Amino acid sequence: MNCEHHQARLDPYLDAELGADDVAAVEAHLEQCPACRRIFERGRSLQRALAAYPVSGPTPDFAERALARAKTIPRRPPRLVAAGFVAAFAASVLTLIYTGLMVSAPVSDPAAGLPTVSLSIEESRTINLVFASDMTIEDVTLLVDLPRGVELDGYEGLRQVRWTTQLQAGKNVLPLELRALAGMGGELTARLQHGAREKIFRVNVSVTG
Amino acid sequence: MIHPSNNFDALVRPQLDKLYRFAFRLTGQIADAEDLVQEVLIKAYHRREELTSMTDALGPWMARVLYNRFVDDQRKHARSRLRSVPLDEEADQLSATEHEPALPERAAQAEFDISRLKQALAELSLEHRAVLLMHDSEGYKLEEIQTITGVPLGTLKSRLHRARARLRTLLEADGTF
Repeated sequence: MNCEHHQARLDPYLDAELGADDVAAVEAHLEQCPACRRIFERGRSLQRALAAYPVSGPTPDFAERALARAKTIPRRPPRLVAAGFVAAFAASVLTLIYTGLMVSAPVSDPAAGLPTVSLSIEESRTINLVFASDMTIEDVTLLVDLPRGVELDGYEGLRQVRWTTQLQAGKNVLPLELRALAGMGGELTARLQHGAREKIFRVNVSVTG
Repeated sequence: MIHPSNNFDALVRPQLDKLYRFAFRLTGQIADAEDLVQEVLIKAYHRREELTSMTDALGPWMARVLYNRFVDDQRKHARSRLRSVPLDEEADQLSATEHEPALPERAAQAEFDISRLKQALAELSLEHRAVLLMHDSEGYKLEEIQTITGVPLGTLKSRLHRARARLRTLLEADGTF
């Protein structure tokens, strides 16, 4: 068995999820492979550090105060939408700037007319979407549609990710960590929606083998 | 006869320690953790008639309410994702705020640095940080995390694996490992 095979079993080994035969195989490999043993030791060290990662206790008498307060607070009223912001939305959200973070800024693709971010398969890269607004706007929906073969770190398996947010006056930065899974790529679309208004921004994601 | 208000206390009090720990894992701040637990208690009190029939499901239900509230807050205000920056900053300067290069003095450190662990955890996505701390710090099983978050088991396994890998990469990059 090669190292890659055993390294894929180190986390399940640490989590005590392997059967007896796999445990014996992993342990035998660790005995004779210093490189895998180092990886295992780092994993175990991290596991122990996370298990010991401290929790700061609540303030004195928190439980008593919280229980008492729970009985005095009425149900929350529904949120009101400030209608005046709807008309102002289209004019107030001005620009989108995007930039590659890890290595270089994306370059324009003259053929497509879109900015392009290049990714290799299994490569992760963070891009920043920057929305400049000249006013604070509440209850803005942000929809990101991903091209095939590309996923967003933390949202595995989703082609569309949605947030409801507030735009602050000034620049608002949305970091997106993209990961290429297959050599497809295509257009990444970010939609800002407020009421009936919508602004659409597009970035071409090129995936290379 | 037990007064309904006292019955409420008796039902939820045994859950509070675990609930607070969970909230602190998610927020990393005492005040924010207390606010989250308070929100759960308010919601629970308004549904107190239903709580008595929940028995063993009460703890997971309260944890699920807390988690959903936390995620809603994070996305509503986008504290973790959408950040406001001064108008006069350039885009290239923005790019420098992510993934700062390792400092030489950090690279020289051999010992495990708990403050660096905290910093690295803060660099994970909300979803990765949550599953990692719930599983590796609080000892929740993946099936319990599935109940609390509503995320499919396969996705949770993938998230946990990637969260660990990402954390190791971050800690290796600055010499913590």
